[in-house]
Amino acid sequence: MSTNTLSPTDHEAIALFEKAVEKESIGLMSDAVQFYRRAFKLNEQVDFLYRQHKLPHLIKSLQLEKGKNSGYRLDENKVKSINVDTLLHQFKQLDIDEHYDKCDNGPSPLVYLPNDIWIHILEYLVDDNVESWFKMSITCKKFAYLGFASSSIWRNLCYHVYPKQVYHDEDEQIVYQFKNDEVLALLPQYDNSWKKLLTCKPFVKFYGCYISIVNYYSEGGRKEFSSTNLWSNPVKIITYYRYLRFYPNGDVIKVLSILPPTQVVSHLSRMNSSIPVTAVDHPANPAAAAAAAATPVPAPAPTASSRQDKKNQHKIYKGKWSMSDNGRIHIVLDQGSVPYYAFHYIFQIDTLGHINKHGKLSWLDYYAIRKKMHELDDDDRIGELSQFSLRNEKAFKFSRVRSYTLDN
Amino acid sequence: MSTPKVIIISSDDEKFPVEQKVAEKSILIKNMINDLNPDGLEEDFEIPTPNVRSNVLSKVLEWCEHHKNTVFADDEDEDVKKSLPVEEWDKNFLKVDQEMLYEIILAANYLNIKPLLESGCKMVAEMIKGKSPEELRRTFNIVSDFSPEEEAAIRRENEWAEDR
Repeated sequence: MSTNTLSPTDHEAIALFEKAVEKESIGLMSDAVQFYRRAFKLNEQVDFLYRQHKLPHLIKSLQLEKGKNSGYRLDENKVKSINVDTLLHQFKQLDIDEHYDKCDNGPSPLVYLPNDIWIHILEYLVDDNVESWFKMSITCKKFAYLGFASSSIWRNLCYHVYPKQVYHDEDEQIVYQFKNDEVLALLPQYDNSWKKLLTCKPFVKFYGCYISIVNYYSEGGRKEFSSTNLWSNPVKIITYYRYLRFYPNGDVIKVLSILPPTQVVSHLSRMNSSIPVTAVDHPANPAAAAAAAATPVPAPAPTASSRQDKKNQHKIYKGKWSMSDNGRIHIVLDQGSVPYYAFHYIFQIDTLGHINKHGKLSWLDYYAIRKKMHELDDDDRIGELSQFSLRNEKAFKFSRVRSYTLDN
Repeated sequence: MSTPKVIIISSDDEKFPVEQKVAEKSILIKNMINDLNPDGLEEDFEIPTPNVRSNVLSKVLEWCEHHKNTVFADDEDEDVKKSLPVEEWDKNFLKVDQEMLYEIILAANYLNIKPLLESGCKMVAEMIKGKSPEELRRTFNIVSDFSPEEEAAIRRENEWAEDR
């Protein structure tokens, strides 16, 4: 097989392969499998073609954006053996000119501003545009030292985070928030290190949403009169998503939907009552759509018409959240999908893959309590607790959403 | 007799006579005037600024002249100061090359002119905002001097902190 020239079929196969990768990345396994299958049918070495023809371009454009080290095959053991704090402090006494023999004219004079002025500039960025703080600090050793090893930067990061958290006391009777000086008072517990405080003390993030992708298999039914084919048992992969978005005033919103994040996150706001559904919004596999609509709604199933079901799928439910001192979140949805239930969700804030601190919400408990519907409601099931299974549930992962503010 | 002036002398010996009010935008100069003239200025008063060249000093004094009647927010009020964007006039005034911006920031720092220093720092922050690391390296003409493993380790240790 020639590796340099691609036939139109090969191009088509690669395009399908890319589509599959994209679907896989947002958790749509059923769609991904379909695209992979079609791609490999056209060319059984499509993965090889993709790596050979597409990856070099991808790496090149990545390097243009992120620099020479992107796309490099890392020595994982070496990365893990690095103590970053020690490394950063080695950058302290760095002579910047030493590194610039490769540049014409040398660095911009601004690079030579005194360190305290640079730290001040980086503090602005932490306040105003926190991504830029990171991007500037990862440009070279000098700025890594200033941006990542300065205590005042981490202090600013902490002051942005902790006063916005909503805490409850032990019996969840009193809800309170920290002031800056109360955050400062926490510092001795963390060896007087702001970085350690931010790293260790869990917090809820507001500039984005938490998404749980659930994929599960459902036994499909065989076609009637197809019993000759007994060895094949059709299986459906069903994908649905849970979305959570928190606000610093204690509001939280929840959506359960078959729609992938691209169609949901921009509408996920307490100002909206539902995620708009247009014709194109329906995923490629109607089977999964139908199944998901029926499955994740907790028992007892709503008795409303199927049209109503469809609408509820995209409804934005509003509730309240607060958390314990150690990051155990309690969400109460008083007006959930079942009118006579108040839904309770308990999550623990965890670290995602050892790296993404506080980026994960793990399920601890999920139940509903029968509500008293009105003054004269004397149903003896009032106060009854229904426990829901967490068997199918997956942890939530945080995703940043640029359009989100603290109150939109 | 006319009101006495403050005469600020640049490192290259150029003399800039200005109103006392203008000169006192610099807290350093203000303190010098007050310390050496406890009864107020009676005649012209010369102050050398051995760290500031004439082209930079004239620029800084242009700023002081423009803002001689501006009342700036209390220095202590960190929150107010930080949330304010760069004032439109300052923004245009500071549209200069990187060399001049550097000199102005240094001069404002040395002469202790806080609002000018703030505006200068914010201008640098504006230059940084919205750029990728590689674009920033081009903007400031710096090169990445990390090994791939160092960069990866530093990223992993710090990148999560930008999510909040």
